[in-house]
Amino acid sequence: MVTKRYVGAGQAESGSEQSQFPYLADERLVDVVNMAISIQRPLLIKGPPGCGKTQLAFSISHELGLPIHPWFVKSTSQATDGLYTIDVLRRLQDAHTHKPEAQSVVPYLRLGPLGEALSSNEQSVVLIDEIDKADIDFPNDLLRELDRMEFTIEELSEVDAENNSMKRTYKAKVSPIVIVTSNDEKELPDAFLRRCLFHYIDFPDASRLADIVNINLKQEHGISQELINSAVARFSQIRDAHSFRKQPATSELIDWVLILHRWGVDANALAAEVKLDELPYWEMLMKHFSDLQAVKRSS
Amino acid sequence: MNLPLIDLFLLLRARHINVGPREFMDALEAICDGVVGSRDELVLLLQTMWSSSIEDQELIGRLACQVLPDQFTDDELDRLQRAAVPEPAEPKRESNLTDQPDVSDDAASVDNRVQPGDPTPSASAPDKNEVDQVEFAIPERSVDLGVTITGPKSRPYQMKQPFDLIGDTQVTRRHIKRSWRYFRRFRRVGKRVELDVEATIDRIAKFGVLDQPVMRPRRVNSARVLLVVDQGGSMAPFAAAVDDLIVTAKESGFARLEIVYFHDTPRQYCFRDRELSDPIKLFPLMNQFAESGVLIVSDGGAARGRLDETRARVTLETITQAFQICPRLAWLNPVPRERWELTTAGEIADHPLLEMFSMDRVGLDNAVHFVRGHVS
Repeated sequence: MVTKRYVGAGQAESGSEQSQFPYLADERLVDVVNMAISIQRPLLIKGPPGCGKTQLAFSISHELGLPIHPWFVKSTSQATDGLYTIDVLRRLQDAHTHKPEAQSVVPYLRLGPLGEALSSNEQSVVLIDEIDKADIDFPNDLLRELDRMEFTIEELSEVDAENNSMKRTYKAKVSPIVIVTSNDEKELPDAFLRRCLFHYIDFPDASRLADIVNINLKQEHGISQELINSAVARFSQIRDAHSFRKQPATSELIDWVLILHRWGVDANALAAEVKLDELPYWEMLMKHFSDLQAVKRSS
Repeated sequence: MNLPLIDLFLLLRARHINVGPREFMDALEAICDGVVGSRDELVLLLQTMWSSSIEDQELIGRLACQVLPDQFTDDELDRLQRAAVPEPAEPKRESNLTDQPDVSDDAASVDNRVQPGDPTPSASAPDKNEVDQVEFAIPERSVDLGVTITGPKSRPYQMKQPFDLIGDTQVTRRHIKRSWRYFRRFRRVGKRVELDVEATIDRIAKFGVLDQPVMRPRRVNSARVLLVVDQGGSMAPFAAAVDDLIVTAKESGFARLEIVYFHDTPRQYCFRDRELSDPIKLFPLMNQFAESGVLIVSDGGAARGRLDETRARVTLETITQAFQICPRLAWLNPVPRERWELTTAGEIADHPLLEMFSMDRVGLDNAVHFVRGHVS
């Protein structure tokens, strides 16, 4: 790799201790991110819940010192929402009450995350989170914008734009780094996939999990490494041995370790011979009633 | 220098991975732009560029290991990239190989063999200046990409494979998902959450004031699907493909999806479970899907390769009766079309109303088009 900008260690360029971002990317992910930056393509990230899909974009933004424009897609989201929205209703109301500002669309225009990124003069990171939540046409409606890194505000007339020192069409001077995450709930259209690089983040193995817990609980004073290691070992064993409706993920693990530490649980209480339902606060790892019951029944 | 990228590309196409010439050229361009610096990174690049699912990614990884030869080392890749980049005009600085601890013996010997006495520093340990120059030279790279596209003849493999029950399925999960995507019937139902601008303006025009905005429900997919699935026996080899069909259908957000099972011959009774223990009357159920689509998934005896007249007769009777209830009924056959002839499936496919599609990419698309009401 000729240029390696992103390192994936959570360290900002300024390098101070406080600027550590709790995110550890593995080598393959780091390579893929750098490839995406290098060939200026959106990066589509999939993976099991809790593997750090969303956090990746924040980590890139933090490490490279770039502003981030997160766009959390909802089931009602339209593709244009990410570029801009116009408060039609308010304008209608204002026009009705003969307010002069209703003459122009500009006071009712608000740029969305992608719109902000494309109209900005500096490079930024755009996160399009959970793109599969929206309608299946959603990604297709973004193709042109992501391909050409430009967008046009159709409702804005040339005159109106000029009067308000705006532009009708914005084109990114530097292509933003676009990270798209998907939970695979819906299939994405081929035309969209063609334009993306794709990477699947696997659930981290035990040693990586320990590193992740460490980096996330760094600010907790006096947390013992032994406790973290025992908790991670038990956690991995639980994940491997059972198939739950909602598999516990990193966030559950971190919460669990935090409680174990704050409530003064000894690492010995997590030893391998202790049954699952006798582990302290094991319920914290379960998010489904059926999972809780399954554990109780199996013991 | 022949980078066997084209071989990998053709292999992937033969396995129904959705890559086209554009993807190929994109990958080639990225390689020549120096995005990758090692064999592993090359494989990773191809995985990220040419796939969009973990299954495809694993397949690309596996095939890349077979196709890209072992001797295709990092140094060769580097040479390839350098061949694509015009040599910088200025002579380079004196080599200082002794100061570079990372140069492996192997790498050094390869370089020496190729360019004896060349003062260019070793590829695996380029000094900072060289990297800058190469980067700087990229926009001016020559048209010659350093790759000879020779076609598959240099590396023999079978493009046309015999029908293989345990090999790759004819259609991947991704393709199935894509086909389901087209099964949509939009209707506005549910909570009124969307502003209906036209109706609001109409209202203002009517009453002279804007008293309240008019809202409308969102468009949702109201398509309903009934899958009638053959289970066990000759369908055993296709269990994975049928599973994919069912799982993807469940993920596709239909307004209603019912799956019932039968064994060998669809009759008046089908079953709610795969163990065929919980019976349900087929026709009353079909009645609920009369306006929607019904897909029968079965080899129809084609896998056995012979004609079973009783099976054909009973199946045809059931189908005739089913058509009276639900005209949007199609048959998906996991056995390729050329193997239906002279079997029970061939006999069934001759039914004047029935459309039987093979469960490959095109067949699946056509089946979905047919049951949603578009005659192909």
